[in-house]
Amino acid sequence: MKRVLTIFAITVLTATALFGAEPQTREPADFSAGLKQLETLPMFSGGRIKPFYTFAEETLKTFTGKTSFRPEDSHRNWNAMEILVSIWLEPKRWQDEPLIRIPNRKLKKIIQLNPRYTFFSYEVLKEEPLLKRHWEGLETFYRTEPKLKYPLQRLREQARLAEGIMTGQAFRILPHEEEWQPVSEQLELTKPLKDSFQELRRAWVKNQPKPFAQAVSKLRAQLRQTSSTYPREADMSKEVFYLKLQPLNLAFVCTFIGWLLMLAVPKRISFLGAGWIVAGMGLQLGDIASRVLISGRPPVTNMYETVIWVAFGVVLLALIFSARYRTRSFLLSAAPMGMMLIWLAQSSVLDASIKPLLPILRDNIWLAFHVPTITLGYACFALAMGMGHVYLVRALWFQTAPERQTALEKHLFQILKLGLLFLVIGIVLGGIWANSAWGRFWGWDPKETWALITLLCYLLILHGWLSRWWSSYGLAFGAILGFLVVVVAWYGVNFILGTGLHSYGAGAGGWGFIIGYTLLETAFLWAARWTMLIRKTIESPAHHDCQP
Amino acid sequence: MKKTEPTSRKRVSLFRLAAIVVQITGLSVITVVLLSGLALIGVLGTLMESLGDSRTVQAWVYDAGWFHFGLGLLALNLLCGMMVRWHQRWNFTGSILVRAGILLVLLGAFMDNIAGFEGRVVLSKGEPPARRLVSEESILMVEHPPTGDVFSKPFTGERVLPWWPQKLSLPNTDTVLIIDRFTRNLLEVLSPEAGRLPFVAPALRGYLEQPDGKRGTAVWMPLGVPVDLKLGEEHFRSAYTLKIIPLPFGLELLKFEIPRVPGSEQPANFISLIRFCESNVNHDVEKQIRMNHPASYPGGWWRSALGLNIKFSQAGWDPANPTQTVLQAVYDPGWGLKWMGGLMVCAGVFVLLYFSPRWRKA
Repeated sequence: MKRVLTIFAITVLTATALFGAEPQTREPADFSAGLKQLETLPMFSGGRIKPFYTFAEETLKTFTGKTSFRPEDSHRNWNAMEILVSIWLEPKRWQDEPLIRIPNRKLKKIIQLNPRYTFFSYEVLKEEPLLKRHWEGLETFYRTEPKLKYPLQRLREQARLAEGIMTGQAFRILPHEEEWQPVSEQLELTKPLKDSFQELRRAWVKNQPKPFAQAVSKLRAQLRQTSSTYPREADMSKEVFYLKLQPLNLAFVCTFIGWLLMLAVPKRISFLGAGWIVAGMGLQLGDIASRVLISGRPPVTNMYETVIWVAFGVVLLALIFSARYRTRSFLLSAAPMGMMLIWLAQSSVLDASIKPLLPILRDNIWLAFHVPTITLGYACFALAMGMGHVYLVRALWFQTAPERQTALEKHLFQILKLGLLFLVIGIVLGGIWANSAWGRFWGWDPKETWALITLLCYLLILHGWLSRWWSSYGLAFGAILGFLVVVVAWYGVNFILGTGLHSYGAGAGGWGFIIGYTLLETAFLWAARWTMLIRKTIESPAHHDCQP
Repeated sequence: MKKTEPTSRKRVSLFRLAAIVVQITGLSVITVVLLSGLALIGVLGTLMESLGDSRTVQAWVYDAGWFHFGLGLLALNLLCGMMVRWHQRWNFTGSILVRAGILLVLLGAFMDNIAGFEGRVVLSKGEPPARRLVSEESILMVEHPPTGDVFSKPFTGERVLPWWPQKLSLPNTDTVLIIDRFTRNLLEVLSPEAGRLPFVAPALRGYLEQPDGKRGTAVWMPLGVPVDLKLGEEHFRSAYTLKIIPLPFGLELLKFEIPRVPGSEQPANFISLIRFCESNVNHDVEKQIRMNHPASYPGGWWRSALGLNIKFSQAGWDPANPTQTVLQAVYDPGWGLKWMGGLMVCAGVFVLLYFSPRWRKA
């Protein structure tokens, strides 16, 4: 009996241990109170002081392309704050977590990673020589494998960042002369800080939200006392507010509502729709102004910033022209363009983070003139493209009155003219900058060559229309086709061709967007052409003769 | 009087003929065709550059004779177009300004091509002044040791195609040097496995040939490395190298700073302090060169305005050697014309779009 009881007891204990015990989970408890306080903790990263929240979002986006991520053994998505705090306080748990996204198959083959997987852990990447900080063969590698330059640059950035956060070096929260220090290095000097940090770590590891929140407050208070120039809470809160508000998303919604209203309501109350569009433009302006205030430079230093600048420019130009010519057609055309560009800016292809500028973009007055001018030209062409669509849709499928179509044609011509002027001035300003940066005015660099091609294409479109080589339909077709050239000059040269001296605006990806857009436009133009031919046949005298 | 009449008629008819030729040459349709051709060449050029490299495109397109010929045709067409429109210049102000602007830009580019140069100089702190530039233009040098004759010719390796070898007649001898291959990386050719990443070495392959059809052994000539070419008793030394441009003054690096972005190793700027030394000038000149702020030497506003000095701009650095800077030097006597042309094009487009009767009427 005693034996039976012993066996029973052992069985029960084993079963309890195996099935009945609290399972080991990686899900953190509700740390929102502590994390909320940590969001505005100032830290030094990427050449500037920023809130912890910005750092967390940018870092996770650099790793995964998104602002949330589901760890392998979790049932839900973790937000950027949870992930970065977790890595900060218990880095060992994350060393084997496949967190770093590497989409390029060729690059994966070269660094001998399994091309079937997309995400890899820091542990797998850290010994790869291509990713070492000072790899002497790097420039040679770029010359022999130019297509892999940007994917490799991105991967090196990911690996360097991963090294920084896994070793704690990236979490520079302690003010120390010009460069801030990570807390782990300087804590020997300040014992109270060390204690608070240990409390923080302990509370997180033991999954205790309340002590965690208390430790965060304590640490923050101590850090604030370390320097008289410690950043103000209000400044950090503003940046967090800007990031959380996401003015561009709101601008998208406002513009969409405004556009729908303009389409739906009668002309006399179309100001309601215009008001929403103006509100959307105000939000875009707010977004751009916030970036200028945060970064302290003109908001035109990379592809993301030029896209949001063009989105703003399209709506602004449409409003000016609408006021000048008293017509809705500009806003009707501009709203979808603005929305499309905002959507593109918010996609994962473009990097929205504010990064330190390359030497060529610093200390340079021409940046503030050349890029905004040339991109305002692109904004005009984007608006003209939208108007080209409106013209064809109205003419071919809605049978709009000829006088309204003539007015629209005139407006299309005006906007194309303005775009051409901006483009020419922008090209010459670019020449001035090239002269001061590289010592020459023109060098047939792909970006320069495509700017010239764009200029010649639009000159041809307008000249052909003026010389009666093609009709108003031709002008509308030209406005749509011309924008395909703009897309190549603006986006394709940097992201698709990936060559030339304008590499500071470069990146990789976006094939899907370009191909999708080209196919959609081609389909639209074929449909328009087809409808034109059918209508011509129906309206021809021969056709009428055949009628019974 | 009677004698002069036929001559006068002849003159009139010649003038009429010339006027017709000018009118035809200056037709807008020709401008449109030429500019469309230029755009198409640009498209193909950038595609080539994306698939290959910029030096190949420069060699085959932008530096090629046919491209310059095309630009010459465009200049001629624009000039004739201007002449045709000159009598109605108040109606065609914008069009004439644009044409004149493009003409000036092309003229400036032509002057740069004829008399200008571009090169690089690597300077290290503590080294004696450098007095020469290394151009990106490559040359082929052949020496005939028995006679001491040296033959040198600009030679672009990228223009060599395997099915179209280039023949070079060597002076004072019947022997011909035939270049039949070019590679951007010799190591890849010699050992494709080993030469994957470590080193890029452009090289030409050439051999000697005599009129009777006798051929020597083909030898690879890596850039900057002299090699021996033999055929029977004949012996030559050949080198494929970059052109050296002597400078009338010396450049010495006094200081080179690389300020970093705080908290990272990313350079925020490159600042070189250079001493320009001339033997016939009493005092040396020191100038600072940083990104977007080149230095010109010799100084003087009129020289700078006319492009009659050499402009040095920051071009590179060696991460492994922070005491070394790379400067790009450009001498461009067509500079002033290009500027004037650029501004005229801007002004012309503005006038054309907003003041030209035809465009306003539209």
